[in-house]
Amino acid sequence: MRSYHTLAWKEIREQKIVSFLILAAIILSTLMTAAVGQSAGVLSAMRRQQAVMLGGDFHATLVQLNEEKARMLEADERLSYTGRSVSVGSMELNDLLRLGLTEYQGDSIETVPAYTKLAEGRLPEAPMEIALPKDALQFLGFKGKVGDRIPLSLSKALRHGVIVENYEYQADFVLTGITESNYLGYTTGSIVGLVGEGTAKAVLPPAYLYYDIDVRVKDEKGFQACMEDISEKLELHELDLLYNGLYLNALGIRYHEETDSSIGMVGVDDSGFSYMMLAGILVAGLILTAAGLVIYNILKIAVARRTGQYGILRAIGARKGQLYAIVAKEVSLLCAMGIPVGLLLGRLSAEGILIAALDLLSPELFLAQDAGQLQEMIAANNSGKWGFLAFSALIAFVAAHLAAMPAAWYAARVSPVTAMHGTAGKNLKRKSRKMRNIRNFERYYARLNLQRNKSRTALTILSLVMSITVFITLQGFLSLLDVSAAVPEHLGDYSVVNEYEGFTMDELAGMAADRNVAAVPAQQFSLYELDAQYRPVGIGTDFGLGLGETFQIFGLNDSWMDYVFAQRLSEDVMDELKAGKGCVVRNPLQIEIEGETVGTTSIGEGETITVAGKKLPVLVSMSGYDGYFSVGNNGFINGVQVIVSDRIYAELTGRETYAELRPILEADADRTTFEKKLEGLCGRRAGTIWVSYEQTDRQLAKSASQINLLAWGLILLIGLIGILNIINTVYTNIHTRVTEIGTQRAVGMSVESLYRTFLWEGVYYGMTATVLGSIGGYLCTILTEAAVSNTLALVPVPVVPILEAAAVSVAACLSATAVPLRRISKMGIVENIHFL
Amino acid sequence: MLIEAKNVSKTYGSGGSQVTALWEVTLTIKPGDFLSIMGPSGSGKSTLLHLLSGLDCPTAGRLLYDGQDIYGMSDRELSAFRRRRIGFIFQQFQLLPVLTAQENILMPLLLDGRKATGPKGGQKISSYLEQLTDLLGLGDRLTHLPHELSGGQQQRVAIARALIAEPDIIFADEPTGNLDSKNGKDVMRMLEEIHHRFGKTLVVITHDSRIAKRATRQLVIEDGRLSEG
Repeated sequence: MRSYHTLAWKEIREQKIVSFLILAAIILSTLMTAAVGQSAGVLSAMRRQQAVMLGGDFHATLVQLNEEKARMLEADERLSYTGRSVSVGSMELNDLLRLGLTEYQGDSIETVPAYTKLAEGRLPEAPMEIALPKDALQFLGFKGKVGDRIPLSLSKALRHGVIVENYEYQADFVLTGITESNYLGYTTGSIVGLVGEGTAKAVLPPAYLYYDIDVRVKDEKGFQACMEDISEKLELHELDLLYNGLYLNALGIRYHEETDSSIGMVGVDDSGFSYMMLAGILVAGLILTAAGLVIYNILKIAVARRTGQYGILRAIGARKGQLYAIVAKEVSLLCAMGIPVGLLLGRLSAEGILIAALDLLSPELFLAQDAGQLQEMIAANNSGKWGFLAFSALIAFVAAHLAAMPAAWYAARVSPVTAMHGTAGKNLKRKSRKMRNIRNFERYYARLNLQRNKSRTALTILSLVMSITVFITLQGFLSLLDVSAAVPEHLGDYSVVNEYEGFTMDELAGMAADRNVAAVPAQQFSLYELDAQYRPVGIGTDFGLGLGETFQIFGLNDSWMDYVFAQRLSEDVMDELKAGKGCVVRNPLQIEIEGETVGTTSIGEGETITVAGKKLPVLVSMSGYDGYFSVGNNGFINGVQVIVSDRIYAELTGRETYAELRPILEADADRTTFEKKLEGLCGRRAGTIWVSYEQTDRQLAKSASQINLLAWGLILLIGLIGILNIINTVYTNIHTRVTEIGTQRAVGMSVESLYRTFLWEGVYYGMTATVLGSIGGYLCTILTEAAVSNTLALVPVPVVPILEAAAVSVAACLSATAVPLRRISKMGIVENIHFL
Repeated sequence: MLIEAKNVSKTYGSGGSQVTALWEVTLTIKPGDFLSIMGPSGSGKSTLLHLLSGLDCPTAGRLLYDGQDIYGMSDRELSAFRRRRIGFIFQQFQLLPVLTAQENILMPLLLDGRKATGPKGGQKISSYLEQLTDLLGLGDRLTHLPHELSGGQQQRVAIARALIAEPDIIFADEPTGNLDSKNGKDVMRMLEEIHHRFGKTLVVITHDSRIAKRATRQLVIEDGRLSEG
């Protein structure tokens, strides 16, 4: 033995079960912290990657700088990067989208990878060369190829303070490349095209030749001060400094959010990253607490059992610090064994956990277009995040040592005299000592035993309560998911949407004639905003609308009409509706916004309304949450919705096209061929998006099973920790009472009776924890449902999960009792009595 | 109750490390006997007491209580036999720390499912308990927990526990070994009084010759072999 520190190692080897239990707790807690750490690393990398993709790899952009100011900025030593670009002008593609052309100079193009993904050709290099995204070319109706000329009518806006002057011009460009469409640009209503260096000078008059400079600062902590100083020196208008909010947030750089213009990404929400990080931290905290309780409980007991030994060490001259060090070293050694294993398991499981967890939220919250892209992003960023993993290991290490501190503190303060004389039963207290009519001695004795070491009992029960609370809450949560997963029942096998030009009647007829297609429900849609008098703009009505409303007209073909109304309308009314002799009105939802009620318009059944000069009897009136109409996945736009047959839609709106088609395939349809045709349609009709419900259902089912797996993994993890605590407590209870067991056996207690006594203890642990855990679980279930429904209300008591939790926890307690008890009961009575 | 040990031996360990603690002991204890078994440390006296009282199994030989071999009983039968027919007094008192003195005394009855309080059946027990606690001077200590009692008081609680089920025989293993001389004398006086007053068979293990001499029959054990003293 080289030093007294070796005692720690000897104690680990001596007390194998105690060491095993602590090791298990350390591995489980490290597994979870490592999984959270790795996930945090992946999320952080994903967030940066997406921020760069969407906003660019720079902190801010200073716009409309003249040559002199641009040079001053480029010479500024506080900046680690400057990249120059010029906005050459923009043009309208349709009501919703504009095409903006930008000339990136030098290597500044490298900071905007989202715009440079080439599908064909090359990026522009010389003046008057251009590269445009596929969708922009579709909107432009361009039928040519790379190398062809494209004439564009552009408008360059120059702002002087708040006054904007436009320079209109026409120019011919040579198409050198076609880039991939970037649909996320649609959120801002703008598509970016690239022109070669020198174009701006060629097409813009000198008065309009202003530069945008993208910058990164060297001192990220002093970012805001630096930007303000630059702004002041260059005498910039406040609107000429644009912060790259997404990127700054991803890097954790503080800036004045109220001036955030977020560089072309206004309205993009990356809160998913923060939610997920917070959820991860909460879960890791929960696991660390549970594991900490186990370590604390186990070590406290182990140290208490070795009090005599510590007393001897103190008697022969050990300092308090040395005893403290022995216990701390013991935990450190176990950490050295457990943390690498936990890290490895956590690192391996992180990707699966993250994918499952992220499935809970919309991919858009993570700046991804869909779940597939999100998973690709996770896989691409799933390299070992060693910094995060090291931090996780540190947290697990510190948590284990914090949990061990009370035990080490106790060991260090052992009095040699007290320790060597033993303290068994010395601290026992009993309030009620009145002799009662004891009907069942085993049960009575079990109850008394629970009070022997109240802190141990409380900790064990608390640990089990946490497990049960998590179990019941997650069960409730999973049943909510089951309900939402069961809901999707959709019209058709696909949703094919084009909100811009829409699909012509010929295209609809063509699709319906496809041999793979059984029917094509189709709907038309027009949205009208209201003027100051709350009258729809662009269409005449004989009724006014209310604050915060819109006016919408939906035209449904017979197939769609049947799906929506066949069950609720009589045959006569359906005939009238299909014949265009009436309409269905869906009144707006009444919502309270800042004390004001909006959506108050109410049109009743039997009334007659006039729309675009046509009188329409209201055959059905719908209100409240009684169904609403929308196009694609756009959600509900509040307002008055008038639903008519497609036979009269054009008469009302002046438009014939369909916004959404929902093809229903034949049972033996060839999906691949049909989907190819859909791709063809997308190529012909710019802005067309299609979704396969079969695919989304499969994805939904996959998500549900992943979430189930994740939730059960969490339940298992917390449950295991709770069971570890139970095993330890019962094991300790039994081993510290071996002599008593001998006495009980000597005075006539049978082995069966002995079993019953300890099993009663197990039942008491299990039942108490179940009652408390069920209350906790129920309260958490209320909160979970409130989070989903936005209403705090009592929910039905989750009886089945409570019964399951009761059965599992009592069974766990009983099995934890039965195993060590079996060994003790096999010991002879004399051996028991002389155990110490 | 007649107890007969016939060629009882006890061996611990196996192979080279085998130790024989008791060599073919043959002994008869008649009802009402007050027997002392004396011997030095490690002579096998505690082993003999454990075997005689059914706490441990012999390696060879038979032990008959009124002609019945108690080692042929199941655990359940043997446990019931011990709590009804045998009383134990240990050197370390062996009280259960969580129970009060009264509960400790009543434990054999409680294990037997007998009601120690209340009108039905409890009255007889209550009066016997009172008689015992008066005799042992424990009247005002019944609600105390063991660690709140002195060593002498704890041993008196253990004596009461040994007597409560009105067993036929009481085995006492060094009953004064953990007490000072005054308390030791008191305990021995009480044991003698119990022997006379209740007519119980009493077997006392001791290495104190003064205590051994107070028995009506004295046995000596040395190196696992028993002989009349």
